[in-house]
Amino acid sequence: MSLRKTILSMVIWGLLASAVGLCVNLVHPHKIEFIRTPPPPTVDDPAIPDPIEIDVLMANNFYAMGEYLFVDSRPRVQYERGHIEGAVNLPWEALEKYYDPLQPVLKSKPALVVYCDGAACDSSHNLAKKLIQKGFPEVYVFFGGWEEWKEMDLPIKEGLS
Amino acid sequence: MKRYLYPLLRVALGAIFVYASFHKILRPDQFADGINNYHILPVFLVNLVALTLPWIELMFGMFLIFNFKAPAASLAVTIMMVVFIIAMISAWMRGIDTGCGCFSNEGEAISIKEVVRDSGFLIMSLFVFAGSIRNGSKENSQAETL
Repeated sequence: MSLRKTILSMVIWGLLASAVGLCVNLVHPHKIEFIRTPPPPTVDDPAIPDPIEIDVLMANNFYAMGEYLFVDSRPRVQYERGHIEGAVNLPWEALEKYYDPLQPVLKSKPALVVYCDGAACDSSHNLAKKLIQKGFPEVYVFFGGWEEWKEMDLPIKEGLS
Repeated sequence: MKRYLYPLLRVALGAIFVYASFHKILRPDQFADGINNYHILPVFLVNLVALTLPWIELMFGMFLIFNFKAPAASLAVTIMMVVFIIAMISAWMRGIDTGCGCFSNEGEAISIKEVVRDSGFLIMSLFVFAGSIRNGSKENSQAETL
């Protein structure tokens, strides 16, 4: 068989398998949208104050006090691999999907501490600003995030909380 | 011994791809998040790839096991391995904390271990591709002789 025929055969069978995958999604119990919804736009309104940034020591103090709800803004897969114990997951990139069911939990605590991977990621800052816009009175960003929390050997949990 | 090496590697490679496709087919939602974490594809393509790639893996894996369209299947598998390795190295170099997503939707963050493992699979797939082409040529020349 020539290389050209091999490539043609690969493409045709590949397209067939792709069609099967797309059809199966229609009846899949964990079906997803064919086209992923892009992350929400960031809040650029200057009237919305920036969230207060806290370091790991302050975050640990807040954690020990027990009155602050830790909010993990990373995608669900990363959250399941490990997160701050007791934190809830509100992925920035799928905010609309997760916000409504989580709203009562978010409102159950007087203050929120939002974090993502670490200083290099910006989803915690974006989410915190969005939460301030939605009317949450006290929202902090723990800028060291998951990486710093792990390094300090503070309480973590794997899987869903 | 050499006679058995090609079919053995072909079936092993096929089994690896079939196995790797299972969790992705069962949980397309988690697989899509995993792909998105790599930050390589544009957002609109992420779910389409998450829905189609596992079925391509499954089908070509089966083809390799049952020696059906082996040249096309091994070529597809080789291309996929190259893409996976590039994606992993790229994520690793950018310091993205994401799981490989290769055999499960969870697991450790990408490291040199996963890159070395996939490079091994790539060598296997190149060998199987060469073997399938050689076998195909032999079959053709035998058919011509007959």
